[in-house]
Amino acid sequence: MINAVLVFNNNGQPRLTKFYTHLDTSTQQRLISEIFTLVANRPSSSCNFLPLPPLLASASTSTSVSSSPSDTPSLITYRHYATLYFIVISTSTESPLALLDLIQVFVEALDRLFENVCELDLIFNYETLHATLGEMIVGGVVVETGLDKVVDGVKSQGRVAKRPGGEGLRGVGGAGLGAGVWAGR
Amino acid sequence: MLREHSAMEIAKSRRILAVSSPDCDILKLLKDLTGSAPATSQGSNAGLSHTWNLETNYYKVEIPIWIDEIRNLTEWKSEFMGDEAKEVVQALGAWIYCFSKPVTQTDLDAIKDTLRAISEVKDNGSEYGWDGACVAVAMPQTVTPYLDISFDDWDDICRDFGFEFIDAEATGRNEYGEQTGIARIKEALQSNDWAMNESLDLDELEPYNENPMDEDSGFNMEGQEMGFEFAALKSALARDESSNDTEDDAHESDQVDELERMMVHLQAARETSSGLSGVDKRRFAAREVEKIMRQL
Repeated sequence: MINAVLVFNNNGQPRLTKFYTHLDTSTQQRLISEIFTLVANRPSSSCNFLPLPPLLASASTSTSVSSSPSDTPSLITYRHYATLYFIVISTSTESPLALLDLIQVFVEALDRLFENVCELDLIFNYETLHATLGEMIVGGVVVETGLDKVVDGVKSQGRVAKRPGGEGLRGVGGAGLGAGVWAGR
Repeated sequence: MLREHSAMEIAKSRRILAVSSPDCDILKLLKDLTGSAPATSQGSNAGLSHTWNLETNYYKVEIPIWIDEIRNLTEWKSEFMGDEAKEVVQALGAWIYCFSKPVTQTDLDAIKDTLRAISEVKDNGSEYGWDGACVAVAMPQTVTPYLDISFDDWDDICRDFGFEFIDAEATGRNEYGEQTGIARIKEALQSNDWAMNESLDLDELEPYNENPMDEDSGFNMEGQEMGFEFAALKSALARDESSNDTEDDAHESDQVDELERMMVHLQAARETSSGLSGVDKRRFAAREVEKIMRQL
């Protein structure tokens, strides 16, 4: 299962923190800062996966007695798009490549909903951010990975915020998070 | 149905403190960034102030910018570690440190020392953990050759002290699709939270004084009531009651839809704020209340 989806900017400020495993606030905050440090210190040439350190894994397991490999969060999958890190924490039962694709679909959906999304859009429209994620993951289980279905689902909820003053064009060129061609790292 | 955000005006903004070494043309940087700059006075930029009218798709704000020059790092640091200076530091939303690209290793060491000093001042000034933007801007160097340091190396050096590195001479987007140069400074500052913490009242704050220990500089902080938010809530409730007389079915279902939207909004707000620290949570909550009141 997916244990958490986190989005940070380059300075470590969280822009989305969605946990599917129950944690108390202080553990959440510790996880958030430690995971960002781990991911941000990765050289840009390294791969998009790293194991969740054991201490963090035990902290992020819920208080239930049994903890089998399918319960314990053990994998961090991340992608760096322009100034934002998209991070998924999951158990080992999830496919890393599928998670990579999931992040890609998430970002592409946001880009379609906001027309070249930028960090400011995510800050001021976090309901749309949550709604988009909600179309894809429910209770830690991936339910939809089709880009069109996700975008249509969010639009039908009526939660796409329109930018004031028109159709949200960002000016000439309109290169948003992905520079038009999904240049995620 | 699409909802529109109106571009809200941030009434009280946190400040920017822009510091540089004397050889650095910080006024040029401010001109490139904000469109204008204050006139230089008597060979020193210390104590100058400026205002940036920043407008984004979501908010507009007038950000006061204070300018300072670091002639002697030890003296500057000890001034800023003092109690009076703490109030200045707490009022800041961003730091800009501007330096000329270093020619020698000694120059580079001085830059690192300055970054370290600013970082210590920042930590000293905030009790709850400060949240804001810190950018270190490398300005053009006329002396050649100067040290050839890669972007990644600069990035590492600056991040160690909590700063984002910007090369002022860079333009366009880099290989990762990120903005560079002045455009990136603008982008980083736009994504910053400029709203002043409601517990600080800076109406009586005089323009930035180079020497914060000066008796006349009068940093006078008073607590500010959250009264305006309760007034907004009361007036919204009063409006709602008066409209009940003319209610019909369509109006009722609109209200149900509206309430449902508000519940979803509040739930998303709760999830978003769960990752924030105490002060950020309060600030975030106040902003959300304002948003909801405006919708009513």
